[in-house]
Amino acid sequence: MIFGGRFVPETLFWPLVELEEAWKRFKEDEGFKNELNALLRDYAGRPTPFCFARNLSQFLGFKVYLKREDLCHTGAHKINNTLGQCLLTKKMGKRRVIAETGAGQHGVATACASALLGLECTIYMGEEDTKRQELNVFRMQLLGARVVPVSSGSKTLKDAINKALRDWAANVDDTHYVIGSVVGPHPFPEIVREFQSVIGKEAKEQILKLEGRLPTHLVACVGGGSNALGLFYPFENDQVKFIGIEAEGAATLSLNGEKGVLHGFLSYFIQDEWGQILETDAIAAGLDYPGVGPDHARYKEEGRAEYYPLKKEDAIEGFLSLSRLEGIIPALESAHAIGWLLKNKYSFKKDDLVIVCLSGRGDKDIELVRNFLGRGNGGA
Amino acid sequence: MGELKEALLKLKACGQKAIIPYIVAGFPDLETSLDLVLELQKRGASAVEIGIPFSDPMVDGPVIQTAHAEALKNGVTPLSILEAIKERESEWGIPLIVMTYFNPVFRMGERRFAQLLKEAGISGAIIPDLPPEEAGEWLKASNEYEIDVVFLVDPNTPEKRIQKIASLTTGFLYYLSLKGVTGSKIKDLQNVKERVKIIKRMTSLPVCVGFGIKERWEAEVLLEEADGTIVGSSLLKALIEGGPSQMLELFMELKGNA
Repeated sequence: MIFGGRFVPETLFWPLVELEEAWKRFKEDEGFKNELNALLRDYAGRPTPFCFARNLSQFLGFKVYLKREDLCHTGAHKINNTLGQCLLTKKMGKRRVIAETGAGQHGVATACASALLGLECTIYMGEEDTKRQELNVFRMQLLGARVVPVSSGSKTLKDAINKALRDWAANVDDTHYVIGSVVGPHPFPEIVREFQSVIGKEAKEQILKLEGRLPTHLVACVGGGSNALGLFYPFENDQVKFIGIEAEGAATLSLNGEKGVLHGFLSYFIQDEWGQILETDAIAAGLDYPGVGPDHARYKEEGRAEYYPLKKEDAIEGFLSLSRLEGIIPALESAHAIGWLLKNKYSFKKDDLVIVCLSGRGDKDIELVRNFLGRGNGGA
Repeated sequence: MGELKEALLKLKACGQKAIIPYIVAGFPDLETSLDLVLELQKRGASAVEIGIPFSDPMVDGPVIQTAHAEALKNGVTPLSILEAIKERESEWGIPLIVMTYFNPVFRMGERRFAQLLKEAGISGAIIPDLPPEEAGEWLKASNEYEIDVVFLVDPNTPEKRIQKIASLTTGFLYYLSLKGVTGSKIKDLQNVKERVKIIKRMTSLPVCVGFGIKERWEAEVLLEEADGTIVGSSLLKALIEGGPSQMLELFMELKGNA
């Protein structure tokens, strides 16, 4: 089975061909690469630190390193992709970008990059999510973006993507769609993978320098799968195990996804027997997507990567443990990777060497976790 | 094969234009939606496009999205819809076309879907998120079960690609009067007309125009070149606001003397 593809209405077909041509040209262009690298260094704060999680490692009984994407500007890995795609937008001579966002991380990162590069920016966000992440809506507005609540369907990320695709179809002449994960019609998964691969490239260099050997395992959370793929991809031809952790309520690869086509690509999706896409329920908004990028579907089918589901409680445990052990409050998405390690520590050996992608910081999730623990309003 | 194309070409030979209304199966409920097909047929529809609802109708605007969502709430499935159409086979006297998205077809398997269409007496199918480049299996299956394939052409489709699309189309070419979603506003009717004229020089297939036609005079301008028009959102809006009678009234208005 070939995953990916370009399952789009005619209106989007030709623009995707043009995007692919532009992408082929600029990804090899020295000027483009230099400009992007300068932005990543001076604006996003790359390379990000790579830190040995001393206390966590002691607790687990094997060495764990954290790739600190939470220390990027805007607090998550999303900025790697939005800087790349917004720069590409400029080079293609377009003046406007649109994007979808779930929790708001990708929306904020797109709003920042467009403010910096002088692009008009519209963000589509499910109505439910605009309520859950009110502060992020204001944050995007501060950055000059227009935030449009989407009230169709399940009023979450999946519907925001539908709406963004509809906007793109209507305005494709002057607008680029900055898709936020390794999903969507070709060449989007490849573009986002390339921009996020900076995570794995840096991590590889950093671990070789510090440990003198490759890691044995890479662990990352998977929603659409961009931080995981960004970490995994540069190790694709190495003897390194890939482990992707999904939220149990949105466990496309590890529990209940079936092959299908949505949002322009063929992959695994959570759907009923008639192909109707179902709603998901992840505690981390960034994992609350009923599908997964085509490269992950391929990894799954080839047996190149393993995917496991994690319960909400275990993700919260990961969140709390990393906060207490390392003084790092992780995004709830990244907390899934930590939570899974805690639960499965006995399946590792003493000399295993693990890299976890700490894809984002947890500031956005503090209130949610407080409520989850029953310590909300007035409980102090 | 070619039942749909034949019907449209026959109209053309008599100097007539086609009007193809769109309804959503299962909205407001399955029985009423199929009753509407019959009523539209009685009122002179050249063919009827029957939407099989999908959870994520990407090319549709708010009106049709609502109809899809309501139909799904009513519990219809591709199978229940096609079985209901088959049961009333003796009532249909015009070609029926289904419109759906690719995932329900993929999930069922292209061959099985084409077979069910054939059994239900459906003449053609439109799958807007399935471009010819991804349609290999579907083309094989539709050919095997003699289902006419309708592909879409849009204002930006380059000429070479139009030729390719036309060569794979067996029903009619569906020209999109605008870039965007169903029910949007057509900005430049004359321009749409001109494009249709160019396309007609490139193919002998019937060319029908859809997306955004709300008024009779708009249809009239387009029909100076096009072989037919497809009307959906405005009819469904009337159905939502005023029930079947208002929808059928609007249909008569849009149809005019065609």
